Amino acid sequence: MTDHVLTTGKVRRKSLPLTVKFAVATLVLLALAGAGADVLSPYDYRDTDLLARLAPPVFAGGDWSHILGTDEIGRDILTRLLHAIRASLLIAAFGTLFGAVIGTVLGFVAAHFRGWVEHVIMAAVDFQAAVPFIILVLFFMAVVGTGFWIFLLLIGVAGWEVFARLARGLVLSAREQNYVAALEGLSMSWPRIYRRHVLPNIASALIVQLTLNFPATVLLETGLSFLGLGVQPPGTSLGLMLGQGRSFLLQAWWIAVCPGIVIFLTTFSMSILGDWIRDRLDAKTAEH
Amino acid sequence: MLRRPITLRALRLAATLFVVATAVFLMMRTSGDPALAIAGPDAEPAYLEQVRLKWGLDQPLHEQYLVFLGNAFRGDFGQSMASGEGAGALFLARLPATLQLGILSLIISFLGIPLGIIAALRQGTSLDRFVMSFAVMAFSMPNFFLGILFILVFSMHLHLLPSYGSGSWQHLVMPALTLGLSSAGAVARFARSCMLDVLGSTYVLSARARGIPTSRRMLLHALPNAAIPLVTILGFRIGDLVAGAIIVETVFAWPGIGRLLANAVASRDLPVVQVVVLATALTMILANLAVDALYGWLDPRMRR
Repeated sequence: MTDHVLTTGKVRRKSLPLTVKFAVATLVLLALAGAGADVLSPYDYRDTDLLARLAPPVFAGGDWSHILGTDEIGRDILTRLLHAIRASLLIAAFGTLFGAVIGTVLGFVAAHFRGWVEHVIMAAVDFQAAVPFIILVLFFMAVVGTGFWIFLLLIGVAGWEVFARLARGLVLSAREQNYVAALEGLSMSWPRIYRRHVLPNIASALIVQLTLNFPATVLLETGLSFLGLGVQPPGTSLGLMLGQGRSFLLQAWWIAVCPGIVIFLTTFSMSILGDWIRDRLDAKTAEH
Repeated sequence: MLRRPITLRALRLAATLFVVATAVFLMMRTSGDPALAIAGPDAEPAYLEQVRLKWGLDQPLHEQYLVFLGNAFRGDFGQSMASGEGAGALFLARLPATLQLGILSLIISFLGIPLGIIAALRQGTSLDRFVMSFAVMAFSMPNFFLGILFILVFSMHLHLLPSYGSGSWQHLVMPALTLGLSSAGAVARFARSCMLDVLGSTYVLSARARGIPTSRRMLLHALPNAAIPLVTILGFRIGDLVAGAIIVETVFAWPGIGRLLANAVASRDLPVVQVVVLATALTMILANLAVDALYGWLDPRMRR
């Protein structure tokens, strides 16, 4: 009997694909790098070293004082990269969660009230899905102005429509099920039924959607910062670093390439992980 | 999803455009002095007065709204603050460059369709895994970084292509590839899942049971049915291309509408921003309408 359990355990571990292991390892490393930015950084991220401007990284003929080289005013790339990872991951995590909460609440509201409330919410969802979000962001910025808090708010709203549609569908089908009818029969209040019983039942689908939305949020933040409309100097973000490095491609390609690789690794790993979790959950629901 | 008759859809889409125009109008009128927004912050008081008169800014809001709609209908959206030219004219001058870039990248993104179908036919093989890895990589890759890598390799290292600007077909290669490739990844994934759905359907299985040869089964039974949902992706792609063009045109200094918009937002050139937003909404609405029409034409079940 124990033998049997051991083998299934082994088979399971084998079934974790190499790409997923790679993705998890990358994400853990990035999270650690961001969290430990202050401790790991060899310099202050605003410090300039004018004698070592545009110094190349170690693997391109540089020395160990600046492992990933320096930028046009001699700031250490590794230090800036660590701080940019922290800023970009925090903004993207906040943005994804905030949009998820707004969307999920609206989805619950639409599914509960039906009628015109549902019509209005779903019309907004359709509109949001039809117009590229970045266009709305840019229009809003042109009218209201740019600034960190406006930027954060706009990133936060991103992706709400996906969660609204998903939550609405899940709640509608949950309301057909016996456990909700039973709780309603026991005259439990609707907010309590939704919070304590429906939400835990549909949470896994929402979490999968979180992992699938995260890469898009990272791309939105870095893209806007790249255009100079997101995080402003002296702050730093992966997109901003890349945008600044663009002017020095000929002399110092590493300024742009280092943050670019990090953005790609982040979105790629999260997509792989999200796809894998979704496939696992789909397989599980298909079995039942 | 239940598809409505095409005339009803068209009416609904016209209503959507109307809502967008109204939202744009309200946002512009409720944030600061609209005369300053139209004429620019450095305008002479006399000119400001002229603008107020022309746009009816001294009238109540609903009157202003009618003037706005009337002017918009005639293609008059005010003057660009940056150059003083008409915002509508600026937009039209940039349109051909964006259309060139957009159409070429749309064609490149359609390369994803055969890739996805091949992956579905060879499901589970290393070919399938290869195509799918390419797809995930393509849409995980930020297009501004891909563009910069292209510039580093093809312009600065190999000296094959110009790194920015426009004027010859060489200038178009890298922007179109950058914009098209990320889209191709998403298209490949979608094509694969459409094809897998069809391959698992009972009519394809029954065709197999009747002994119909594989090639005939794929060409006549599976492909036409997989094509129906694939059409919907056309509508989504156009939205993604518009969004991507903003960044890609900036990377390659391509003189299109995306760059016009990015610059206009940075300098808060509201008349120009307003034109681009309205035009984007119109394009998306027309694209969705075209998708619906194609849908009805492709799928006899919709023609009842």
